[in-house]
Amino acid sequence: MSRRVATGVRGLDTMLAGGLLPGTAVLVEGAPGTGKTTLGLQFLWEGATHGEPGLYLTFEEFPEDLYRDAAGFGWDWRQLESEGRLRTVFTSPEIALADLTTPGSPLLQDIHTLGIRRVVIDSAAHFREITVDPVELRRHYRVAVNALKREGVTTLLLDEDNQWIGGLAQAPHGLSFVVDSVIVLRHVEIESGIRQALFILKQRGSAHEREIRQYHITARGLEVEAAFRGREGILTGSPRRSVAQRAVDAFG
Amino acid sequence: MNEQALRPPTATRKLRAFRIAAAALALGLIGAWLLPHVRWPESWGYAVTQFACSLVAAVIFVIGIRAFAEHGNYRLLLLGLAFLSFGVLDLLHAISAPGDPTFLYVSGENLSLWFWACSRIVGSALLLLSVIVPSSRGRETDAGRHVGWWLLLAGGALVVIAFAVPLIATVAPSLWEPRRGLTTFKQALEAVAVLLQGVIAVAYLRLWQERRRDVLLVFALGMLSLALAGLAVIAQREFYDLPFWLGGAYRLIAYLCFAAGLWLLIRPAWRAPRGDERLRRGDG
Repeated sequence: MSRRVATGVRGLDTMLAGGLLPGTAVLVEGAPGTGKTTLGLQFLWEGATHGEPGLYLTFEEFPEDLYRDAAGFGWDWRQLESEGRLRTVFTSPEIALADLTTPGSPLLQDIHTLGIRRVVIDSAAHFREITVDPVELRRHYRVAVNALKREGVTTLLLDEDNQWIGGLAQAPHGLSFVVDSVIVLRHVEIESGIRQALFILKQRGSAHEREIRQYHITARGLEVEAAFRGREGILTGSPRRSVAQRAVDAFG
Repeated sequence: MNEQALRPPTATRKLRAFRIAAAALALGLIGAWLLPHVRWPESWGYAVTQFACSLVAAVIFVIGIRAFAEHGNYRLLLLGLAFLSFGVLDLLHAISAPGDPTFLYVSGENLSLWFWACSRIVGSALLLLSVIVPSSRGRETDAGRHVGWWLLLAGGALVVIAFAVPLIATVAPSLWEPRRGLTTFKQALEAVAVLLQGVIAVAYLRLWQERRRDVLLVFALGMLSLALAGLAVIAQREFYDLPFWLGGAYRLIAYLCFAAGLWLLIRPAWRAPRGDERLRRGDG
C-alpha cells in the first residue's frame, strides 16, 4: 500500500483507507459550523507535529482569530510558527493565484524554504470573487490545484455550502471534478437537535468507506464516530427512523 | 426539483415495460406448462388464505432479520425466525392437506396436521423466547454480522423438520384417525400452543403499556386471535366442520392484525413526512 497522509482526525483516516494520498487535492465542503476550519487546522497540526510542515492560506479570517481557535483545541500555533513548522498567510485569492503561478514568488519561496508538505486553502469560495465566468473560474481552480500538485504538497480546499440543513448540490463550477477527493460535512436534524454527518464522496486512486458517519467537534478537534444506525435519509437533513429501527423500538 | 425531470427517459421506460411484459409472458408460459400437472385444492378459500398468511409471515421475517443484521438485537432475530417457521410450516401443512396440491409428499390428514402442530409449537415457542430474552434495545451490538450463519442454521432446521415430520407422523401418536377424527393428543398439542400464544399476547400488551408503540397493540390482538383460533380448533372434530372455519376466521383476523402491524412499521419510512408533519405528530 502506498504511503498515506494522516489527517489527524480519529476515524477519518480509517474511512480514507489509511489517509489521504500524498500530493493530492481534497475538497472539504460544508455548511457554516460544520468544522471545516477546525478540520483544516487539525490536518496541519497533525503534519507539523509529525515532521510535515504546513501552510494555512486564509482569505477571510485574520491570523489572530486562527491562533485563538487553535488554542481552543490546545494547539499552540504561534509556537510551531516560530519553529518554522507552520506558516499562516492572510492574502487575497488574486494574489495567491498569481503567487502560485509565478516562480520565485513569496508564497512558493515559503513552500520551498520551510519544506511545506501540507496546505489548507480557506476558502475556495473566495475564488468566485475573481470572476463570474464559470469557464474561467474552473480554470483558476485547475491552475491553483495543479500548481500545488507540482510542489508535491497535499492540499485541503475548504468550500462553503450555503444550505444549512439537507440538500446535496454539486460544488460550484466543477471544483469537485478538479480535485482528487471530496469530503462532505453536513448538519442533520435528529430529535430536535443538530448533529453532524460526514461522508467521502470520492477518493481518486484509492478505496474509501461509503458510510455516512456521525462526528463531533470535541476539545481535541474533530472525532468521527460510527455510522448513523437506524436512520434513513440522512442527506435530506431531517432523517427518519428506518423500518428496522422502528421494529427494534417496538419489539427489541 | 421539477417532477418531470425525475421521470426516466422514454427509452428507459419502454425497455422497462418490455422487460415486465417479457417476464409476465415467461411466467404465463411456465404456468400453462405446469397447469396439467397440478392437483387443485378442494378448498380454494383455505388454500389462498394459507398462502396469504405465509406472505405476511415472510415480510415480518424479512424485517426481523434485517433489524437483527443492522442492530444485533436477538429479540428481532427470534421474531423473524418465529414467523419464518409459521410461514414455511404452514405452507407445508397446506400442500400436504388432503386434496391440496402435492409436490413433496403424499398428502394426508395425519401428515398435514403434524405440520400444523409443528408450526404452532415451534413458531409460538420462538415468539415466546423473543419476548423473554433480555432486551438489548439502545445497546447496538455487532451480533448482526453473524446473520448468515443464523439463517443457514434456521434453514437447515426447517429442512430437517420438513423431512423428519413425515417419518415422525408414521411412528408417533396419530393426530387424526379415520372415523374418529382429531385425537386427544392433537388437542393437547393445540392447547400447549394456545397457552404459549396467550402468554405472548400478554407480553406484547405489557410492552405496549411501557413503550406505547401501536404495532405492539395490533400484534397483541393478532396473538390473541391466534390463541382463539387454537381454541376453536381444539373444539374441531372433523375437517371443514364449523369450528374449523371459525378457527380459520380467527387466524385470518390474526394475520390481518399482523399485516396492519407491518403497515404501521413500514408506512412512515415509505412515505417520508414533511418536516412540519413530523413536528405535528412526532416521529416514531
